[in-house]
Amino acid sequence: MSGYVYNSTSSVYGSANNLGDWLSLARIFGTLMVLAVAASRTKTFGSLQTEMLAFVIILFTAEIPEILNTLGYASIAPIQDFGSELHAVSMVVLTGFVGYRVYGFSVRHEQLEPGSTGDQRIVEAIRGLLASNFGTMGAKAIDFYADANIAISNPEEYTKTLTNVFGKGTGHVLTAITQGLAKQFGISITDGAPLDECINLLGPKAQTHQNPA
Amino acid sequence: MILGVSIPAFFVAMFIENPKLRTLAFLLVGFLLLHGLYHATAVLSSYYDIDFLEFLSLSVAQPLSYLVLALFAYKLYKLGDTSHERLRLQLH
Repeated sequence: MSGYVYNSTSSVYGSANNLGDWLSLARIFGTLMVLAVAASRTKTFGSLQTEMLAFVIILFTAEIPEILNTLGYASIAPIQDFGSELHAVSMVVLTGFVGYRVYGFSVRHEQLEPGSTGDQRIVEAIRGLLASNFGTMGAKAIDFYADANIAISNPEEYTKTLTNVFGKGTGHVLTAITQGLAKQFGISITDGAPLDECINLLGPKAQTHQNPA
Repeated sequence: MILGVSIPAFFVAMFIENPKLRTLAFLLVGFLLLHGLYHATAVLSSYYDIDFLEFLSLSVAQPLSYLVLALFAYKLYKLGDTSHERLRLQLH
């Protein structure tokens, strides 16, 4: 649809293309709505949901001029070019996001900088606890789709995500995370305490906590 | 570019053991591959003026890629969607 110049009237597939255009636009719009809800629940820019939403917004914007032109609603050649360029931008954005996460999965080893914030310390502690429970690859796989940043921005959402990933074993995973965090940051927390309670208690402690050398 | 990033994404998906995360990973790879195929066939059909490639690009690869993207988005949405009752049952 975008990025290339077609002459649909000369094509035996012209009508099928129009239907395909409509269906594609409907699917992208549906995707946009679903991702908007998912991203709003994570409440952080550092989640895959928000990154995918940014990509789909650009993709959707790029498709509108092209679809109007294909369906003959408007003669918008200059905007059509803009749509093609925007489609290319959306591909660059998607490649960047996916590439960054693939890099994080395979190469990057998180290390806390001396000036890191309390939230960053908690996020890295959660990643470390996941790694000690599921191995480095298992922890990175979880972090690829359920970013530990969500545990700070919306602990309940993070708990729900872990519940969907681990099913009945979630209780043990969460206990390991909350007890591990309590131990690392020197707070006391009851067994089975929810993650949001633990994160709230950690807030002031994590700000002043010294990283082990 | 899209086809290029789909290769390491595929290898990442191969390493994921959890079935739910694995499904998500392969849906993402599927979208990248199909959308890459759409761009590749579109370029070829534009260059060689072959109707079949245009059909393959516009009526097969592109709608399919967006369908897979929609499925991926839905699965990603469902990943954080749990009722309070189910949450309570799973945690206790």
